[in-house]
Amino acid sequence: MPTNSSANFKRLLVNGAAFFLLAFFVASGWAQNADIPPEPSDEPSLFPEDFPADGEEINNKWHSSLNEMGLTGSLRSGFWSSNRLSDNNNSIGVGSLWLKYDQRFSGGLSAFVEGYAENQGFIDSDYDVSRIKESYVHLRKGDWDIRAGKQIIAWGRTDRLNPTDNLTPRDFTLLSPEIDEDRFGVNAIKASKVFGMYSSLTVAWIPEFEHHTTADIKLADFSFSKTKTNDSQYAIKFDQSGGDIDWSFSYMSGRDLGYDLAITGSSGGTVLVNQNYNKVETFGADLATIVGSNRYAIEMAYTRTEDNAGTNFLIKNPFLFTVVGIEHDFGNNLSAIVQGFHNHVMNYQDPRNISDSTERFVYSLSATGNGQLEQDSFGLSGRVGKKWMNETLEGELAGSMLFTGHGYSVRPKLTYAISDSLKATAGYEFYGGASDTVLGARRKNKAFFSEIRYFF
Amino acid sequence: MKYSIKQISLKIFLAAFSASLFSFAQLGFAITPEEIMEKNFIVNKVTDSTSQTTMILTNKAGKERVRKTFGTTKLQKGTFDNMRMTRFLEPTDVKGMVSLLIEHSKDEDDIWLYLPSLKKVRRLVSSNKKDSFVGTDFSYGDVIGHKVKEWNHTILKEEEVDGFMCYVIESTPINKTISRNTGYSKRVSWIQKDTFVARKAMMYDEAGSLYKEMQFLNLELVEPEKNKWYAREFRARNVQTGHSTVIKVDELKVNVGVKDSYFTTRYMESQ
Repeated sequence: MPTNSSANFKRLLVNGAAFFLLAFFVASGWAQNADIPPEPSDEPSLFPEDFPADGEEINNKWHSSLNEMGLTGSLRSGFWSSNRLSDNNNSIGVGSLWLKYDQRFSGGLSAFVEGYAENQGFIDSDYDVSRIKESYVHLRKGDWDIRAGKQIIAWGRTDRLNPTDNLTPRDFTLLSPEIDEDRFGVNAIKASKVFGMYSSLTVAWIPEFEHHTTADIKLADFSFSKTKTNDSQYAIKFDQSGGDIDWSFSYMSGRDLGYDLAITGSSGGTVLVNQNYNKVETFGADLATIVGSNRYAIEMAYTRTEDNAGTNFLIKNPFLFTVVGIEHDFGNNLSAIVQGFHNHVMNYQDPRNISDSTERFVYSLSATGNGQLEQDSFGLSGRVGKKWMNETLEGELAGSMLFTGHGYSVRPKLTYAISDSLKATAGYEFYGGASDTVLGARRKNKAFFSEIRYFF
Repeated sequence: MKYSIKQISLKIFLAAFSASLFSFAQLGFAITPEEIMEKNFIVNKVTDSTSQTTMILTNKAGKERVRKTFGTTKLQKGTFDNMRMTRFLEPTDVKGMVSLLIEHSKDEDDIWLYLPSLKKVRRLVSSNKKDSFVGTDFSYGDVIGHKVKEWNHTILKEEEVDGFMCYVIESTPINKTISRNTGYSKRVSWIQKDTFVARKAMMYDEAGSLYKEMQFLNLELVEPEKNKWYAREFRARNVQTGHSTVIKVDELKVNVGVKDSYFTTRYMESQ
């Protein structure tokens, strides 16, 4: 099929670029080891391999030889009182092995691979999964950084809620106490050119689109399916990190990581609905600065969709999403972040006014998931973090609240470092509010969780 | 009796001059405490450096945790303000974490942190210097160095430490903000008379109680032409909790030609 051939060709390009960089520089490294004079350089290494410690060896462990090869990882065992699939499965045991390979070669080349294998055990069934989160090679040469392979590209300066972060997907069904572990890489080539000390221009090409992983929608009399697309995505960002203010401008052209619902027909009394990932263009900007004991951040993005007139309920309308936050450091390892967010939908039309009841239901559901049920949505998110006992015990209370529809979530979490190798975490995820809000709709996912991690 | 402005000015000048002569003559010091602390502040500020350190954190029960870091420093041109990058090597859960600190003697410092789990560099609030430096018993302020002008200094006496004669300097914050930001109401430092390196220090909490004891050991002259010294071992003990920290500098190189461009967020993201 032409589509598959095109996708395979693009994948081949990214992997080929990664392989070429790796092969070329590994070969050059071997060549240097073979007593061929290295390229003249007056730059000292900023990595420790060239500075082996001659001091007393402390806490020497069986896994130090693995670490020397660049291999680290963790064994995890956890319990969740509910999954994140909005179904009725509960009391889930999760066991997983996470591995990370991080190695530097000569000539500014490095390689990074991270993946995991996991088993989720339910009372009456179990489920295995193994995935590669990232696998790329990175070349740093002069003012250039080039990264090729499966990689996470994370943009934005506000806390966890990032309007400009729309290049690489998240897996919202992943059972992990650490929220940021739900990011997954995509095959991409990313190049950055640095200007002076603080500025850089980054261009990214993502040949194969991958959307967020969300819970399957299961409703009586409805059948939902997803359309896979292989479109390329492009993005560019000018970033300034340094001086008094950090800021950036970005642009992305590609596919929406979240879906729009579209009724495609019916079959034997069942309504067929497609989850489409439509084309979007996003213009974004962010800024962060410190004044006294406060960190201020603002991030906003205007997203153009294929329904700029706002007349087609199958496609979300263009929108402007803004997050403004303040973080205060109270000292004694106590800090708090409060963020206000606002989503304005352009050319808004209320899907609840659609006369056909099936269409009204489906497009209201779609608008709820996309935060487009109202023209203007307001909300707050926040996080309080505290560390005790020389950072042995860490506590966090995170939450968010939608003023429009009154949905809310609360997530307290405690982590205790039993030793350098062993960490225990326990917490609770609570969702509440009206079911026609993004947060209220997740009520079935509220869960107690606990996990023990052994690092090696 | 009336005095002209000239006469009054002369009397004030003579009175102030006599008082200062008296105080120096009484204490017998040819150097002011501010000068001592200024010299101490810059005595370890080498042109640039790379180092590998091991931090051993021990709680009251004797249980140890170990962190290993690789760090670079460089003085900003024409100043004694350092740029410092610290990359964490161990343990596994913090491996890859990088902090970048750009000091500003006349303003707040800039701090960024790269967390591999976030895949992002994040700018941090720097006014708070009292928080523990990565769980050790040294605060950020202790690691960076306390700005001399933010403290009032007094020479208490002279005393021998490990066979070296030292000035014993008491430093108190010039205002409550400094006390609140550093967590200290008083610092007492033992500064070696001939080299101006600190040999030990005692810190008092905001309530005035003894808080921490510090020692600086295995001092090494690393830049003889500039009289730059570096302690190869730092010890701190929190007397209130019984927690202690030893930082060993396993490997140190100075004047290796570290470039300015290394102290950028770009390098923090290099895994």
